[in-house]
Amino acid sequence: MSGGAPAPMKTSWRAIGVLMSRLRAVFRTRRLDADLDDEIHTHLELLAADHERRGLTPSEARAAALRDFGGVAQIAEAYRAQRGLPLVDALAQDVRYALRTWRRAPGFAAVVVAVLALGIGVNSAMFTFVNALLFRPLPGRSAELVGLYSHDPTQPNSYRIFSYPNYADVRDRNDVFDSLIAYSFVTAGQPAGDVMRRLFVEIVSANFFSALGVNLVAGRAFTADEGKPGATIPVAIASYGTWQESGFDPAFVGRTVRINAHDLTIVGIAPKGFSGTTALMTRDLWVPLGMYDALKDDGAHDPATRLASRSNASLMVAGLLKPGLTLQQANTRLAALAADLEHAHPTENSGQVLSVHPLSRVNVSSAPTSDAGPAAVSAVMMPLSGAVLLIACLNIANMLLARASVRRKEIAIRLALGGGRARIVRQLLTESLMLAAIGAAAGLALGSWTARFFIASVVPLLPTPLQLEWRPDLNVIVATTAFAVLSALAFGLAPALKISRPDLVDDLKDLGNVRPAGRRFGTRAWLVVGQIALSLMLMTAGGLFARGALKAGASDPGYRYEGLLLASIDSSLAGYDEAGGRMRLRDALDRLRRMPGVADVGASSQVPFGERHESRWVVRPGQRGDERVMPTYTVVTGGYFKAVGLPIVRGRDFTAVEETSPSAALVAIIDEPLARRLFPNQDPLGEQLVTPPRPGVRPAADNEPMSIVGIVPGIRDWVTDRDPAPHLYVAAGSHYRGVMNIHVRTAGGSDGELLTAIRRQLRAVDDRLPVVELRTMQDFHDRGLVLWVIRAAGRTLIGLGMLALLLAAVGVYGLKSYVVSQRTREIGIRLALGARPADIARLLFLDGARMTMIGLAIGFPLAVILGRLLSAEFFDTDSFDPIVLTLAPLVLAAAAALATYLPARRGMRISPLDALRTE
Amino acid sequence: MTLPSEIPYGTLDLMVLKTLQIMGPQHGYGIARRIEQTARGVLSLNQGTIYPALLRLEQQRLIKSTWGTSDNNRRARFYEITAAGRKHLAAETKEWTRVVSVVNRLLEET
Repeated sequence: MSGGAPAPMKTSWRAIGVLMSRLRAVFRTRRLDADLDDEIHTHLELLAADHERRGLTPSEARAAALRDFGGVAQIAEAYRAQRGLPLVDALAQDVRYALRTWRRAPGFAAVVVAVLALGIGVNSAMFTFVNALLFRPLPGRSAELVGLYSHDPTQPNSYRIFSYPNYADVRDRNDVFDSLIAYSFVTAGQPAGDVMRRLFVEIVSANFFSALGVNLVAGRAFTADEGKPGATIPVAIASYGTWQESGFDPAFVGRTVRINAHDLTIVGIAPKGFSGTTALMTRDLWVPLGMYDALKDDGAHDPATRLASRSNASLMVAGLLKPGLTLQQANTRLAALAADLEHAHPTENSGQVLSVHPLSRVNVSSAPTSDAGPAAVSAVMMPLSGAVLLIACLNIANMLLARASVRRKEIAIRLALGGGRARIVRQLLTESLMLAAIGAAAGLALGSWTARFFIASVVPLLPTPLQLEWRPDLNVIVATTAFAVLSALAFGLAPALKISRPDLVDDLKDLGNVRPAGRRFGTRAWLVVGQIALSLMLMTAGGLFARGALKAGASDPGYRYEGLLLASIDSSLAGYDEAGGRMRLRDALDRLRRMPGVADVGASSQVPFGERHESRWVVRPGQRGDERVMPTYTVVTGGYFKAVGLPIVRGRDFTAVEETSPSAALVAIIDEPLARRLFPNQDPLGEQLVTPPRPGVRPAADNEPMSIVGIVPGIRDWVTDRDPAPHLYVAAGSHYRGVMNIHVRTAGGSDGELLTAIRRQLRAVDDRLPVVELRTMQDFHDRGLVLWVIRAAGRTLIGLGMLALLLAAVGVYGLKSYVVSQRTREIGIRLALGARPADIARLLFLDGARMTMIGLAIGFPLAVILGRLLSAEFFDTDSFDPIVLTLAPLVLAAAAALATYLPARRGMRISPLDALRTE
Repeated sequence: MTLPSEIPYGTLDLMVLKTLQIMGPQHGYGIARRIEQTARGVLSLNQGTIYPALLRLEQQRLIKSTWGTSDNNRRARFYEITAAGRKHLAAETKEWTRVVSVVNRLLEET
C-alpha cells in the first residue's frame, strides 16, 4: 500500500526506466532465463541445506525447500511477465512457432509467398502509376496553386486564358494572391542530326520558380527584364533530365542550345523531379516570357499575336492565395478587379468575370478542369488489379484450409490443454501476417521492377515527350503494406476461425477428415466458385479492351491508308516568316508532284489521329450565337482531297488561285456532317459561313464571311470517335500555318524508296527546312498516342486476365486434388463394390463441372456489367461483343475442365485395395 | 492468533528495501529468510515471490545487483539498496506511518 503522492515527474521517469528495462529484456531472453535459473537453484540449495541442518534427510530437505519456495514454474512466469513485454513475448513466440511450422513444409510456404508476390506486386505496380498521377505531392508549392480563369457568364463555354497586359494588371492590382505566375507551352524544334527533335518548352513568367518555392540546382532564375514581353533575351533553364542526358556536364550552365533557329544560353538547371505545374508530364526547357514572340512566331507577324497585345489571350495564370483566404472570398474580391479591368479596357475585357478554381494535376486548359478523368481511370484500374489479389487470397485461403486438416490434431491438443481459442487464432493470424509480409516485400520488389521495365520499354516509343519517372515513394510502400495486411486478413482470418473450432474428440481420434456424405459443397468449394467468377470478369474486361484496341488499330479515319505517305514540315521551327514559309511549301509541293511514282500531293494543317488539333466556332451570318458549331478547322492546299482519296461530293475543290493568293475571296469546303448540322434542309453550296472572333479579340481578316464551294465526306478525328466530326476546310492562300502535313499518294513503287526520294527533294528545297515527320500514314497511325494508350490498357488487362485464369485454374486443381485424396476411401469402397473407373471419373468430373458452372453463372452478369462500365468510361465500343462474351467463359471452362480432369484421372486409377488401407 | 494472510505486493517491496537497508548487500535467500523470521507466522510468504519483487525494484533503480558467490559456493546475485532506494524507503515509511495513525484514529472514534 504505497499511498501518498511522490512527485509526478519522478513517477513518470521511473515508469520510463521500467519500460526501457522491459524492452531491453526482450532481446536477452535466453541469457536472463539462465540467470534466473541460477538464482532460483542457489536459493533452493540454501533452503535445502537449512532443512538438512535441522535434521531432515536430503530428499526430505529438498521437498521442504520446494514447498517453502512455492511453485517454481509460477514464480518464473510471474517473473517473466514482470520482466519483458508480454505482448512482444507472445508475438516473438508466435513468430518462432510459425517459422518452425513453415520449415516443416517449405514447398507450401514458397507457393503461398509466390502467389502473394504476384498478387501484391500487380497492385503495387498499378498503385505506383495511380500515385504518380493523383497523389504524389507536386514539388515546391505547386500543390497549393489555384488557377485563375476568365469567362463571360452570359456565353456558354467562353472560358479563356489571359493576355500579358491583363495578367500584369491582375498581378499588380490584386489583393487576393501572394504571387501570380503565367505560363504557356510550345513544342519547339532542336536540330538533331538529320531531323528536328521535338522539345516540350514552357514559357514562364520571371517569378515562376520563386513563387513555386523551387530551388534551382545550379545557376539562376529569370530576371524581371527577361520576363518582359518582346525582350527576346535568349536564355533558358534546363530540366534536370536534359542535364542528366548530357552526362552531368559541369559546364552545362552557360552552354548554348539551338531552338527554332534561336541560340539560347542555359542560365540554370531545375531540380530533379521538378515537372512544373502538372504531374507526369515534364518539360525539357523553360524560357522567359520575353522569348514568347520569338518562339511562337508562326511567321504571321500579326501585331495582334504579340505577347504585349492585350487581345492575345495566350497565357495560363495561376497563383498562391494569401494565407487564410478561401476560394469564395477570393472570387468576391476578384469581382471588383474584373469590373475595373472591364472599365479600363472595354474592347478586350467586356463582360469578363475572374474566378479561381483548384488547378488540375494533369490537365492544361483554358477552362477549369478537375482531376476527375484520371481519378475515374484509377478508380477502375485499381479494383481490377485488386480483383487479382482477391483471387490470389482466395487461393491461399483454400490452401491454408487444406493444410489445416493436417494440423487438426496439433490444434486439438492445444485446445484440450487449455490454450484459449483467441490465442490459437492469434497464432494462425501471425503466421498469415508473416507470409503476407514476405509476399509483400517480394511483391514490392516485383512491382517496382515491373513499373521500371514498363517505363523503360514505353518511353522511347511515345511520340510526345512525356516523362514517366519511377521513384521510390513512401505512399507506394504504405499502400503495399496495406495490401499485405488486408490480404493476410482476407486469406487468414476465415481459415483461422474455422480451424480453431474443430470437433475436439473427432480430431484427437484422427477422424476429422471424414466428411459427412451430404455436405458436398463446403467453404472451399465456394472459394473456388468466387475465384472463377472473378477470373471471368477480368478475362472479359481484357478481351473487350483487346478487341477495342484491335479495331482501333485497324481503323482509318475515313480514307484509305494504303499507298499514302506523310511528310510534315514546320517552317516556324526554322524561324521562317510567312513569305518564306509559303515559298518553301510551294517549292516542296511542286517538286514532289514532279516525282516519278507519285500520283497526287496535297497538304493540310492537321492530320486525323494526330496530336495537333484545331477547331473553331462557325455560324451562318445572321444566326444566333447558340446555333454555332465547332468543326475541326483545317487549312488545305489543292490536291489534298485527291491525295487522301476523299471525293468531292458536290461542288469543287479549291482553285490554284485560292490556294496560293492571299487576296482571293474567302472560300470554304465543308463536309457532310457539318452540312447536316448547319444546313439541314437546303443546299449549302453558295451559302456563307463566318468564324466569329473570340470575345475580346479584335476581328481579323479570317473573320470575314466565306462562301461554301464544295462538300466532301466526313472523317473521324480521334481513334476513339465512333462517328465523323464536322470539318471545315479553308484554302491555304488566305490562311497560313507554319506546320503543314504533306500527303503523298503513291502510284506503285516501294514506300521506303519513295520516302528516301521525298527526303532528298525536301532537302533540295532548303537544307534547313525542319522535317518533323516522314513516314507512311499507316506508320503514323500506329504510333499515335491515344492508340498506344488503348493498346497498353488492353495488354495490361489481358495480362491481368491471364493471371486470374492461371490462379483460378490452380485453385480448381488444388481443390479437386484434395477432394480426391479425401475421398480415397470412399472411392475404394465404390470400386470394390463394382463401380467402373469411368464411373468414378464421371462422378468427380461432374462435381467439378457443377462448381465451374456456378462460378460462371455468377461471373457472367458481373462480367457484362464490368464491360459496360469500361466501355462507357473509355470509348464507344460494343460492350456486348459476342466474341469476347462467348470466348472468355469457354476458355475459363476449358481450363477448369482440365484442372478437374487431371485429379479425376488420378481418382480413376486408384486401386481399391490401397484405398481401403488408407485411413 | 490471526491466520497467516497473504502479503500485499507493495508492502513486500517496502519490506525488501528495509531488509536491505538494515542488512546491507544480500542475496535472495538471505532477504527472504530475514523477512520470514520477522513475520514469523503472522504473514505467510512463499519465498519465491521475492524474485518478481526484486526485479520490480531493480527496474525502478531502487536497488542494484551484482553477481557473486554464495556461502555454498554457487553463483548468486547480491542486491544492494541505492540512494534513490533509501529516499524512497524514507518517504514511504513516513507515508505508511501517517496512514496507519489516521486509520487508528478513525477506528478509535466511537
